[in-house]
Amino acid sequence: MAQWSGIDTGLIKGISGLVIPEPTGEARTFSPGTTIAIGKQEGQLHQHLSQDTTALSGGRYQLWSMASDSPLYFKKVVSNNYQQYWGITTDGKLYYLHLQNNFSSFGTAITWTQYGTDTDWLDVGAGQYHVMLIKAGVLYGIGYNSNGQYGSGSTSYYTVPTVIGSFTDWVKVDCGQHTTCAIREVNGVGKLYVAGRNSSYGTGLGTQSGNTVTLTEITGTTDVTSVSAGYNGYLFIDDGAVYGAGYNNANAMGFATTGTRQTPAVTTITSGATHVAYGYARCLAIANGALYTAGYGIGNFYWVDGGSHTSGWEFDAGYDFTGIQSDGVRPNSYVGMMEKGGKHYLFSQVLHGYILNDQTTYKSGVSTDAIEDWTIWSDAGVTVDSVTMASGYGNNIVFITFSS
Amino acid sequence: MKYYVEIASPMTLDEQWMDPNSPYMLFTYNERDAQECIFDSQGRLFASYDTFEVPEGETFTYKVLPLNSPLETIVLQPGEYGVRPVDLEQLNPSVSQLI
Repeated sequence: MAQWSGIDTGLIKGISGLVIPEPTGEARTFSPGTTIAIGKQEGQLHQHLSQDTTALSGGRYQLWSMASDSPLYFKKVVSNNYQQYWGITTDGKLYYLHLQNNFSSFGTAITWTQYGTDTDWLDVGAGQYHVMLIKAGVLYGIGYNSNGQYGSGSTSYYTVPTVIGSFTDWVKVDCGQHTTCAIREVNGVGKLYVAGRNSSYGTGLGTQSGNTVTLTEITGTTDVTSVSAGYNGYLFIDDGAVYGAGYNNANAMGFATTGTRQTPAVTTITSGATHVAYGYARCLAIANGALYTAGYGIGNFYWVDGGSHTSGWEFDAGYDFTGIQSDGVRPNSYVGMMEKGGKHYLFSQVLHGYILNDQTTYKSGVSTDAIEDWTIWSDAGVTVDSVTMASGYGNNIVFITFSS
Repeated sequence: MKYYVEIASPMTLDEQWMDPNSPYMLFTYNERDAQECIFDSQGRLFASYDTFEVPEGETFTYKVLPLNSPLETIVLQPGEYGVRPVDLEQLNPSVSQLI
């Protein structure tokens, strides 16, 4: 689709006067030090550009303005199925942007709105209908909780962030479709807890029936430093090794063999791992600076090397990968950043939600859509501060923060 | 307590309601689409929802962080919370009686 052609080639270039072509061909120039979001929702491209409230022409694009005059440097942005976006900035502030007001007592907001004034927000994760947050070590839940995904011990749910449990040492959280995975730091050691729907052994607790409504520790770990939850499963890093539990469609977890893992088991990455990102039919990991991939390669929907890695992890060496993130619900949406030769690169693979369930639509819909293939956006002396992605039910937004 | 109510269409499943006696607690139907609902022999569609009950002799405490407000602690006394407003005014039929 033509409207994407200017994105992958022009997004990062000319940072002092960033130019993003519009569908009409009219160029728009932006200043450095801004947060940009690009992505698509129901087939439409979204751009989120600071300090600009003018709607783009043509009706296919939407432009969201920033609530603040100052640039927002998000370290993580997530969304649930209701297009409720939550973002935490690098200075610990929490913002929301809600295009629907489900499970919210504070309505819709088409611009980013700061949630209170606190600066001690640590992490945020979103499932299909729920969102989990960590503030100063305290875990909060908001939204749907019918599967006990809060881990609060009940299935009651709330319209505002509600304290979950009594621990005050939570440091990281991520959500699957109807699950929550969170890490406590106890005496300097990371402990992993899970809650929510057990379907397909998605909680890794040895059962696939019912729900686990209380956050339950995964025992036998040494020091859990990272976790990424996806559709009915999760990957985590324990003492440098990557472990997986739950649904393992097409060996999307990087094991040497296929099959669902009822409880956590080590993958073929046994050391050096720093990041993991698990979606549905594929996953990413960074170990010793190399990017590892596993899982499906379907149609146009290949990995960066054009392959399908269904027999364990394979990797792309030569780059210093510094970050990755996956959508917790949608199967095949990832963003990442890497550095090579002093330059920063971004890569993305963003698929429009449920399209994967309709292979015909999928194949015809993405064949010319550059951003839905792996794309490496080379820079022009730009420092990328962060890249994060919010992806819900039928919408994928990539947020890129950069400085000149 | 579980309630079964007749709904006009699957769109009704998006309905949400709150109980002023249990602030910030949200209630919805258990079913997310028509396939999960119950049809009776007349083709009527029934959905269910659960209220939140605090047993006698106990309380239920939760802490919320509303927008632009400090952390608030709410204590619920024994009782039933989240009855759909319209159901408060009429006897609730059980689904077994309807089918």
